[in-house]
Amino acid sequence: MKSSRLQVRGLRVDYEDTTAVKDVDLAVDAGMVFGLIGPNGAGKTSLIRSIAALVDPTYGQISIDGIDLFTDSSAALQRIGYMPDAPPLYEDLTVYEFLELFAGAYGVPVPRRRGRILELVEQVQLTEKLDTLCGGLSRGMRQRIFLAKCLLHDPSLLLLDEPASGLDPNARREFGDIIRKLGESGKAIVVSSHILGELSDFCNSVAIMEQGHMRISGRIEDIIPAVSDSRHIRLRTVENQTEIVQKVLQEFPQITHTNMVDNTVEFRLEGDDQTQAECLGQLVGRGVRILEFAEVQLDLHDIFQQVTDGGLA
Amino acid sequence: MTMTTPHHTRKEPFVRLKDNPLLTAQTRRSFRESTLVKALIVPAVLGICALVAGQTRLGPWQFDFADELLMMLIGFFLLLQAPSRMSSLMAQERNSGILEFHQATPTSGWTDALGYLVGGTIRHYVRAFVLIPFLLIATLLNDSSFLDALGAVLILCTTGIMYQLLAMLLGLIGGKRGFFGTLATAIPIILILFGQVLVKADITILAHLTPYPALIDLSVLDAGLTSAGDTYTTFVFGMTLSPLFYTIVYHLFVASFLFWAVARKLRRTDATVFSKPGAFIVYGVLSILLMSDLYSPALKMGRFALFVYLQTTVILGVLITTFICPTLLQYLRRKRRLAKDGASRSSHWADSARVWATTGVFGLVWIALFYLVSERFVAFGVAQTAISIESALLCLQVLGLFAFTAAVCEYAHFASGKSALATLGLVVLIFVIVPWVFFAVGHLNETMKPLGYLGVLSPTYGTLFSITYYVSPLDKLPITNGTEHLSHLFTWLTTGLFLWQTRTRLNWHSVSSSGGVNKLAQ
Repeated sequence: MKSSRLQVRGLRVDYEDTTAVKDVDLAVDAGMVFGLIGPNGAGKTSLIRSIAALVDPTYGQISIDGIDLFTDSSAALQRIGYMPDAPPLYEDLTVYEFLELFAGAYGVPVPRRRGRILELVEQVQLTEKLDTLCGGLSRGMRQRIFLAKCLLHDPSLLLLDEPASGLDPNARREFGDIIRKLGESGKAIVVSSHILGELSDFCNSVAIMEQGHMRISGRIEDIIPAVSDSRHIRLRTVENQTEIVQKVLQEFPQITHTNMVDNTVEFRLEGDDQTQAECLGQLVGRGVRILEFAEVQLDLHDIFQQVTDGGLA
Repeated sequence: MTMTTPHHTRKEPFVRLKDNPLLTAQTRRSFRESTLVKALIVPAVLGICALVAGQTRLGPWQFDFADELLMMLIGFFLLLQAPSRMSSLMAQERNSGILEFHQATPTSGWTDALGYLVGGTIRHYVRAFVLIPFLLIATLLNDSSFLDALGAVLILCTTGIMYQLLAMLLGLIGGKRGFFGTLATAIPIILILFGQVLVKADITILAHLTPYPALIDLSVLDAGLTSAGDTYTTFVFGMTLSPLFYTIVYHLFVASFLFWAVARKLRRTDATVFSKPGAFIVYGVLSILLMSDLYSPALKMGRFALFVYLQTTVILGVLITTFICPTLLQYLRRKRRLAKDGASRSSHWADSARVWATTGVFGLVWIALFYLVSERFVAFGVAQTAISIESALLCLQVLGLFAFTAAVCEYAHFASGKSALATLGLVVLIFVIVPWVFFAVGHLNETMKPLGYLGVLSPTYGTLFSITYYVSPLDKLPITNGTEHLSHLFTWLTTGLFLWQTRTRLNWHSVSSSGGVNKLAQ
């Protein structure tokens, strides 16, 4: 049986007056870019910090590549690349020296160190900054250095906590491209964020956390049918025919959550292909001039709203 | 992005002497171009000034003064500047969050501690070593031994390592709190200033926390610091040892305990300073070492040595207890873990366990060693018999003080609802400082004498006077009129009160494995 890169079982993290993570189970396989979604205070950072061995969980099991984090932390940590939100740097070290520090800490063999650092700075497009002091770098450059730092030892699991916060749109897009490529190369990546738009670009799996609970997790294509037993239909007409459309839709008790804006109507249909075809036939029969009548694929916003109360900004 | 599995899964060694990443990085930080120049030029100029000052003060070719001045400069760099730097470095690493990156790497705490210690202080060692050629010149011109001078530098290095590790520990404990930074600088200053008093008083174990005994042994210091003049002898359990040798061994021994504690704190910032078994070893070994003075051939210190031994071991027990108390969070996590596993009990030696068992063991160790030393002193007619009402009351009082400390520490961490440090400070103010101020006022001013009896409110009052009376029964002063026994009673009562408060507060927290941290009474 194939084992997951990251396996979390029954994890609980308590603080003095709150429980941040409540009996969470999670499995992340190779190639998964796993978006950890939830509002502020949902427990995302506590979960990531527990996996990075920075927080003592109350109980539970964490294993990386089958290695238990608590019994063999050194071997487990060698397989993790961790990047926190707003990571600090040694301002008086150059980019090369900073990366060399962590290459040494993660045990990259001395003869391979320089080559590995050069390879990674090229990858994050900072080759020309190699001899610049870290103190003189912009926020975006710092984030990229940290990503390079996380990759130095070629970990099998990357933990990225709000990695794109504070980046401008271009830097965010570039960052997303890098993460997507890393996922394609076979790494397991856990990315936490409360900005869904940022995750939807590169995640192929998601987990939604709310008040410490893992509400749902898995590949997006597996989650959609699980979270929604209805079809999302978008109807676009040539001109505004609100009254007729509304009348037709009301004749179908399977249609709910109708939302009309100008010539576009979105609604949920709890029925099969037959019902959908009947609905279309009725609209055409009543003279509605249709430009588009199609099922809409759910995005992360929709999934999140379906699963939670929609409390995300 | 071609590799998908870690390409270097070597086993991380316990400590990396070679290829220590933090050592390299911190050394680089210490020797950025601008600081390197200062590191070399400033001591060189100071060295020249010392030689010139030595010559102008005592006339041509009189370099005694230059010797001492250069030693003082080396001491300044290693014993004062380096600890101060280490304390602030640790606080910076902790506050900036970069320490967490190191905690998330597979390196061991010992590797990190070594890296910080060497890399963080190397600039100060370079400064000190730049002065060595000047020291050579001074000794050559002065016809004194350069080897002795080098030995003195070695001793300053070992003392420096000890102070630097203490400063690192304080920096890691204190974080943003400036008090600990001040303490890291103040402790070496106090030890250096009062070290000469300790040497004169022949309190071996405390005197050897300073470089003075070894410096006297090396004839580098000859200012009549000892009662016997220019010689100093180290007696350890009746054996005569070279002060130089004993100092090196003792410094490395104390430094290894501190290194252990620093390594723990570097890997887990919220960890207690010592593990409970570690605290037991530290307390036991240091208590036994403190006994060494009592076995000098002629009981050279008599009652005073016994008094110092008994007081110091009590203070040591109290201090170590404050360093092993877990936080409320650690305690609650442990309780829930146990509830989840269905276990009713777990080891009292766990970091997150309550402190009572360990403090109780400290008390038993204290009583056992007290019995041993008392037997010896009775034989010399100095103290009272080891098994007597007086000694039983003394043991009870010491146990009371330990229990009081444990109760206060747990109250501060578990129940006060405020910063543990602030609560401990308040307790010290109320139960130590204020009663002693009243005591002093009452005994200095005859009209306010009744006020002096408020001293009994301090648990330290009963302990101090019980030990004093036990050690010197014939010289008993009517200073307390037996009120030390009242202090015993008060100590146990306040201990009970703190314990009750803590217990009540802990009962507010639900420790079920399924629920959150429920406060039952809000």
